[in-house]
Amino acid sequence: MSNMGIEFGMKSMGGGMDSSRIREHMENLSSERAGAAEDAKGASFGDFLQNLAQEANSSQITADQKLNEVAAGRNKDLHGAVLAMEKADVNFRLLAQVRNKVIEAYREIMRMQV
Amino acid sequence: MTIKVFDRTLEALSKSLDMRSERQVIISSNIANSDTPGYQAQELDFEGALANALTLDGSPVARTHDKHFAAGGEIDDIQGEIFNQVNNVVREDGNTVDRDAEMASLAENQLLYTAAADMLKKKLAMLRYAIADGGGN
Amino acid sequence: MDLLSSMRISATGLAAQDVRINTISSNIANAETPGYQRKDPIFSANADRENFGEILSRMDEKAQGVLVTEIVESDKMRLHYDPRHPKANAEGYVEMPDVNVVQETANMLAASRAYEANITAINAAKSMALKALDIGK
Repeated sequence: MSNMGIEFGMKSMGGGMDSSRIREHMENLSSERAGAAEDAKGASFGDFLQNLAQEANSSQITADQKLNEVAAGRNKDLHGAVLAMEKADVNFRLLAQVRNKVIEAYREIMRMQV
Repeated sequence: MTIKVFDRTLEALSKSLDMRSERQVIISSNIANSDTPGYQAQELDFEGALANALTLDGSPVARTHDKHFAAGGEIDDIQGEIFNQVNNVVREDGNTVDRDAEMASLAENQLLYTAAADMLKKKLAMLRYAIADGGGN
Repeated sequence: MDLLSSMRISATGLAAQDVRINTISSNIANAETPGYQRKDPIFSANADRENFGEILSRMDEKAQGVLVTEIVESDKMRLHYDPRHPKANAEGYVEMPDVNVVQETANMLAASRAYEANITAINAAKSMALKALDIGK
């Protein structure tokens, strides 16, 4: 139903857009959302947090490795090392912020009057 | 109980700074003496020892003798070696300094020193951030 | 401390090349002065010590600046036949300096380049030292 409404709107604009292509695109989007909802049932927030932590850890290890190489003069790829360090930094900060928000949410919930 | 805050990477970066500032002295000596008769150009080598201690060049190696490279340990002990440059052209007055090569070494050494200092600074900042409870409460 | 030593060593390089440039200027200016003896600065390596009695570390031995130990005057003179010259000797020859202006000019350029190289070395050491101060900021 909603699809038809949009199609009508597109035709009235008369901008030469192909309505069948637009409809196809919208169908793809809605099926994607349905799929995502399904995924959300399988994957939990805990998994998400764990992935985040792993990502932060591995990017830290990679960055350290690159820094070791620069320190020993074995690798002159300076921008690679700097980028690896920034990546590790961002990942860690993301992890820290998510963890802060989780704690905040927990406290919020605990404050609720039951 | 002491907490070891400096990980191996921070030690390596710090050692790199030490070694490169010593190297700066050697390079300046070479440049100052580029016209001194009989002067032998020198160099400082530490990369091999450091890469070894960080086990960058291969698989971890067991240390069987005190005088061997500290593979996988004791970054702090690394001293680097100073010796006369080899394969240099000896000029008429006995001087072996290749000034252009020294200028190139000067530039590279400065760059890598600066890089190590910047990275050290960044790592310390990350440590401080983590200690400050991740910016949260 | 190393970086300050490095700057001190480069400064000796500047001083020595400066003497050399002045000597060459004197030679060129007096190329046609009868009786003038060509001057040559003698460079020699000079260990860098802040003060005597300091504990000798490895770097104290290896770090060497340069010093002009003496300015040698050449004995050689060019004999130029000109009996009417007021300074002519009994045979009518005037003693002219053994100065080749082309050679001296080439030496001047070399000394000037060497001077610049020492300046570059000082700048490198300075920028590294400033970078080190930056680490804690």
